[in-house]
Parts: sequence; C-alpha cells; structure tokens
Amino acid sequence: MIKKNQEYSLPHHNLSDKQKDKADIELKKLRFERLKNIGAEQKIYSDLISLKYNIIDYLELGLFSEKFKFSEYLKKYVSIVNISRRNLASDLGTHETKFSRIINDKENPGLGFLYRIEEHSNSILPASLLWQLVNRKMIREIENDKTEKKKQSKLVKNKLNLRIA
Amino acid sequence: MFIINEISNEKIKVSISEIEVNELEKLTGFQFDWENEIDFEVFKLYSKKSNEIHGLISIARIFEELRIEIRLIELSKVNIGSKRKFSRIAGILIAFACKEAFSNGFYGFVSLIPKTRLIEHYQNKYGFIQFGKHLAVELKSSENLMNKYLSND
Repeated sequence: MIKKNQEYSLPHHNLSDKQKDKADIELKKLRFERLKNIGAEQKIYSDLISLKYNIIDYLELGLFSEKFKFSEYLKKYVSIVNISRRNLASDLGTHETKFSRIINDKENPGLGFLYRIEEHSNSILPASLLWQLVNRKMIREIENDKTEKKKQSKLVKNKLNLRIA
Repeated sequence: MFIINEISNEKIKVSISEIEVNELEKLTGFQFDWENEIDFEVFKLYSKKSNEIHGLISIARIFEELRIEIRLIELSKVNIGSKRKFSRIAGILIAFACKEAFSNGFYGFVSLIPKTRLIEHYQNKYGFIQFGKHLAVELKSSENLMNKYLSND
C-alpha cells in the first residue's frame, strides 16, 4: 500500500522496448506542443532560477572566486532580462553612474540596492542571497587590505596584551 | 540541503555528486542493477560528514526535447519503509534533476515513467502531471520542489 508520507524508489518501468518507444514518441509530441507555447517571460524566469541556484551552489563551496562576484552576476542578470544597463539603472531608481560603478566592481552595492534587485526580479533573487555574495567578496577585501589594517591599527590605544600559555 | 533523521529529528547536511565507476562496483545496501546505468549519469546523495550514500539517481539528458528523464531512483535499504532511517532522500534527488533541467535550459522539465501503483504518489507528493505514459514536472512545479528540498532551511 502506497503511503503519502513515505518515500519510494523509482524502479525500472519494465515496459518493452516497443512500449517505451511508443511512450517516448507520445511524450515528444506533447513536449514540442508545450515548447511552442513557451514565451519570453518563461525563458527569463527559467534563466533566473538557474542563476539563483548557480549562486547557491557557489556559496556552498565556501570559496571566493573573481568569476562569481556580485558584479558578474549583475551582468548576467542584465543579459537574462535583456535590458540595457541604463534602463535597469532607471528601473532600480539608481543613478547611472552609481550603477556603472557597481556593475564594474568599483563599488559594493548596499542593502537597498539588493532589495531593489529582489523586487525587480519578482523575488526570484532574494536580497539575503545576494548579500551573502557581496559579503563573500568583502571578507576577501578585508583579509587582503593590509594598508587599511595598518592605518586603522595606529588609531588603537590600550591594545590587549594577552599572554596565552 | 538536508535529510532528516527519523528518530532524533536531526537535520543532516548532504551533498550530491556523480558517482565513480569503482564506487558503483562496490555498492552495498542497494538492490537495483546500477552497473547497467554506466552509460547514463548516476549521482549519489551522501552525508557530508560520514560519506554514507543514502540514495542514487540515474538521469538521461535529452537535448532534442529539452528534458531530463529520470531513469531510476533508489533509496538505500535502511531508508525504505516505515522504519526508515532518514527522510527527504527521494525528494532531494528529484529536485536535483529539476535543478539540472533549469541549468540545461530545459525550463525545469523532468520526466519519468513510474510503475502504475506509484503514479498517484508522484502526482500528489511531487506535483507530476501526466504526459501519456510519462509523468513530468516543469517550471513552477520544479521550482517548488527545488525550494522545498534543496534549501538549507
């Protein structure tokens, strides 16, 4: 008896080759019918879902890579949505210059910008996910910015003098 | 993504990766003839900590039709039945196929042919719909499965 809360393996269907061919031909026909009705909106939706899970997979790795910075994903977003950078900047209520700095990785986006991307993408790309992406790069910047670290350390008084046994 | 220990309710982090040929040859706790699937893509679902394999899936990518066909799914012996050790294994494997179907530009379209007694199960539990003898999910239904089974929450 099949129970709703159980999970089951999917064994081989045991159709004959002839039956399988017939089933495949039928599916192929139905599939092509379906594909005829796929519009631009569904293409954008699908590509954004793929983009989202690409971000998730990258974040899972726990590494930083130049190829997977927020600015690179923003470029992909522009391409998927098939909109000019100027128009996207306008849609996001962001000045073109600022948008250009963000997409060219000269400036990190703020939370407000990420909320707007979430809204623009119909919530497919959550701000919380994009923030993790931004943070991944910021952590790398913090670790590598010896100049700033040195500059800031000079402003510190009474540094803890810990002797660890 | 995670599976759930059915006794302790603990979430166990898992990963999916393609299984090596030598791993297939040494498999224990699985009954299907997985060596027959060597010409297709076989992925394993395993615990990150212990490397224990909980489930397997074999898929075929049919580029001409923009679809992925799930050929086989098998849960390991200890994960079958009312006294199963972990849950969510089959769901994760199906959702993984959906993710691949989006990555490939297939609009998330995933098909399979279940035995008759499992048709309603796939329709009710995972949202598959009939395409002749095949069942399939796509677009929003596939996304729903991915959100349910591939998230970390």
